[in-house]
Amino acid sequence: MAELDDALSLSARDKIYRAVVKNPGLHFRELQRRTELATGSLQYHLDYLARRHLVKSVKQGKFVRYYSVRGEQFGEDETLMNLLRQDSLRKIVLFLLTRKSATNLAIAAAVGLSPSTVSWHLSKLVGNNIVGVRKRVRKKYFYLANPEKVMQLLRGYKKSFLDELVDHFVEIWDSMEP
Amino acid sequence: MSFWDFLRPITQTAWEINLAAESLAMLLSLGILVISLLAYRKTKSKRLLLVSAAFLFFAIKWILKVADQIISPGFFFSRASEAVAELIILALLFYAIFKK
Repeated sequence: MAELDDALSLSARDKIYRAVVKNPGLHFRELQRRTELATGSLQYHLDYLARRHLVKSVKQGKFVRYYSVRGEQFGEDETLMNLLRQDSLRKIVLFLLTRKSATNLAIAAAVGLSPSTVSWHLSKLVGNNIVGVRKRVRKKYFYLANPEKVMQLLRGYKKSFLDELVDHFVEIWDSMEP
Repeated sequence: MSFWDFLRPITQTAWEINLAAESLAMLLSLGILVISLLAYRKTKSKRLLLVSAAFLFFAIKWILKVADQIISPGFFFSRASEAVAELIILALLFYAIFKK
């Protein structure tokens, strides 16, 4: 505990750590916006916290997401939570929740994405053991490996309509960054 | 038939629905103000604080314009005042876009 207090004696570091504990899975830019720290400073403090085993980073596609090691733990659900934060993947998972299994084409038609995009997303989900695949008469059927866990996480991360509006508003201003 | 003759029915219709249009604009501006304030509360970003300030001026402008139509004896909110309000709004939005 003394080690934790020592590591968080700087207010900037404490701010970063609290943001990571409160919002597990934030990526660098979002963390920067919330802490209002310069890029170099944030990177330095994150590296420091990682060296002290207080924060860990997980590379997910083009994003590096940060989690607290000691704080609120998501354990094996961490990967699933990361994926559920991405709109397209969440749509696919939500669709699979309503079916026992479905083909790539059926999923693509339901979520409004091209079959190749869905195939790419499915490979990520299969690779992380979130979605299983079985072959039947030369067709691949995809299904959720653990629908109960998905439902549990989705309930925890459900956004209200107002949250969606506010998030879209923030995204619009983020996209105008000089 | 000149171009202006073609526009006349449109401006006439706009004049007839002026109060409703201004009231709707006022409600929408208040809605955007609330969303921008919630976005600021969520992110604590100075850029969004500037955006919220811009939408605050925007909402005030529309409240005054509607009040002008309903409760003030004449035209309290002149075109000059509107121009100043819009200048402030645009300056805040412009600054918010370029602020890092």
